[in-house]
Amino acid sequence: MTAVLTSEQVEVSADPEAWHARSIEERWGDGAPLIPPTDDRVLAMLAASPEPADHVIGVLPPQHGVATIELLAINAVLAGCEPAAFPVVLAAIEAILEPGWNAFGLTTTTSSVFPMLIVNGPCRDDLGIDYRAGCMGGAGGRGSMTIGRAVALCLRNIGGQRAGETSRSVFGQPARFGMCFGEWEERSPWASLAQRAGFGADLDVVTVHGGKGTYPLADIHNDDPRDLLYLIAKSVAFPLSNLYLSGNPENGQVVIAINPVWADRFAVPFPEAEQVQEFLWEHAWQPIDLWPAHNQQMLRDRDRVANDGKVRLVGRPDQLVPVVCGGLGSLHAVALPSFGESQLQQAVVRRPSA
Amino acid sequence: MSATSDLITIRRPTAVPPPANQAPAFTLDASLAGKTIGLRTDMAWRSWQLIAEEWARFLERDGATTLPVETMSQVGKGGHEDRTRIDTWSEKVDGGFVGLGTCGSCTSFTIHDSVTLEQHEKPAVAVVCSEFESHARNMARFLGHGDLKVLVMPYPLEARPDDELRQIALEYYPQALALLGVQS
Amino acid sequence: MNTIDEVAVGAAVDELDALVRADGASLKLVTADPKTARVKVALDLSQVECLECVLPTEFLEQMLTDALAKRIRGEFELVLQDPRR
Repeated sequence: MTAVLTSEQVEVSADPEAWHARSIEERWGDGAPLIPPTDDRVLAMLAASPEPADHVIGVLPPQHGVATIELLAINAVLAGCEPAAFPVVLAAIEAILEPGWNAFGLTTTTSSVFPMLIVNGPCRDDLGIDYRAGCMGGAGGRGSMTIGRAVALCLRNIGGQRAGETSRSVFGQPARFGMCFGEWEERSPWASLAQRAGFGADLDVVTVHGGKGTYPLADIHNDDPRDLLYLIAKSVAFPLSNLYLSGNPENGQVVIAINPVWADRFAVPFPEAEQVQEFLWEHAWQPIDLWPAHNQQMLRDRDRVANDGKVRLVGRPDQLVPVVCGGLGSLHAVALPSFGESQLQQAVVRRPSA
Repeated sequence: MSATSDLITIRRPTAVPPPANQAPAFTLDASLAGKTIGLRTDMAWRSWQLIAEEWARFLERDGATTLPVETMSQVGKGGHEDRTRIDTWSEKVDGGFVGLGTCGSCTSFTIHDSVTLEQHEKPAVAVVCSEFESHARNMARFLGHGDLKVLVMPYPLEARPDDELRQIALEYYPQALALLGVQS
Repeated sequence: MNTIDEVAVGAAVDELDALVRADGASLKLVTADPKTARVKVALDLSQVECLECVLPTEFLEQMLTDALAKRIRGEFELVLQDPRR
């Protein structure tokens, strides 16, 4: 049955440049060109949804806009998504709406934090979700570039998130255009991110991380896996991390993207991902005297300083989350630092039943 | 290449703005005598902790009992405990001051917790810094409490010396009482 | 994202195989897995009489990498199983 669209109709120029100018004037986009959401395109998107057009998936902050499947589909068209990728967008929005992700806080904060989507499952190849060289930008897979962008446009157009107005983000970050990448499961020596969360390997799963940015790490001097992991742990525990602002070290995760070559190396002493996490946690701390006196006092007031003077970045090993992706050039890792007051959320990608 | 003047019909991608209907804003409409006034602070903001301490002293001097509550988290076990504490605190007080809105998410949660107090039919005053006033008013409107009373303080408060903060506490105290609806 | 064509990869290995056969060695494609972007090639030296005459490992590896790079879109990892290592 063909859906009946109920959103307001608007007449716009068919000329690409005039349409682009109009979309900017209406503040519908992110500055880059958008695909006009004509009825045929929106209907094609809706045909890929497991829910009907009028189904309400939730209420998106900050302005608590009602997110119907139809509105989400319109924004997915704008972003350039192919219909087959629409269920991934829906899963990501579902995950964002989980209270633990804290969309209420994250869409309004002064921080640069934004949803970073990590995809597991067979759909990575089908949809062009990058997980090899350049997966965090530049590889140019359609899925990577449009799924994250669709989520960003939903937050903008449905949630009303606007920089300098409802969103108080001081700097923003490139991921605010949209960020979506996959895990290179086939090159990971460990269970995948989704599997570790209890999902089957055959399922398509989206993990949404409230990430503050891409924090690059590099080494060419040391091939010892323990030494390298030690340095990664020390690097992610940088003294101005959000995770040192809070009195609650149990909240938030740092995603650590590890290239396949290093992953193979790390897997020799640590055949399980949990062992990597345990080792990282043991070293992800700084001595209290690293901070100036005033900060030391704040950390003490927040009960963050152990008797031995260690200030741990996080309360538990599972808050340091390795993900295997990236090219085979080795030498690099990327940390996606946490906002702190946000927990990773996961949702299964659901498709219409046949 | 010539630009076409043809028109196409598209669907508007934006959500309908939230309805204008707003919840009532409560006022104390009484003197402070015998009243319990709550002060909600946030562990993140030392400046507001100091101002709230000063106000607690003034409020007690003027006949009220004060009940402080401090928040720390937005999510997880800590966040759940904080919101539960705000709920219990809202039941116990006759009205309260909630702060501090001096960042994006902390302003959002300042408004959130003020709304919780209003939902208990108790007057709330959200305390925010000037830089975040429009954000506070937006969030109040988005939560259906567009008439929520907002006390706007100078920005930034953090990093000011204690003496200056005490002076600000003194200076803004009458306005805080007026917004709460305290009658002399 | 199937970037590895096993037939094309086989042709690259055959090219180098012809080169080492002059010295009695042989090269065989073991696997070319598009999911892992890993190409495994085995060097057989069992029929070789003059080990020093066969292309050195590093040199052979470089030549194989170059030959494969012409036929594989994107990155790949060459694993050369060479008994001399």
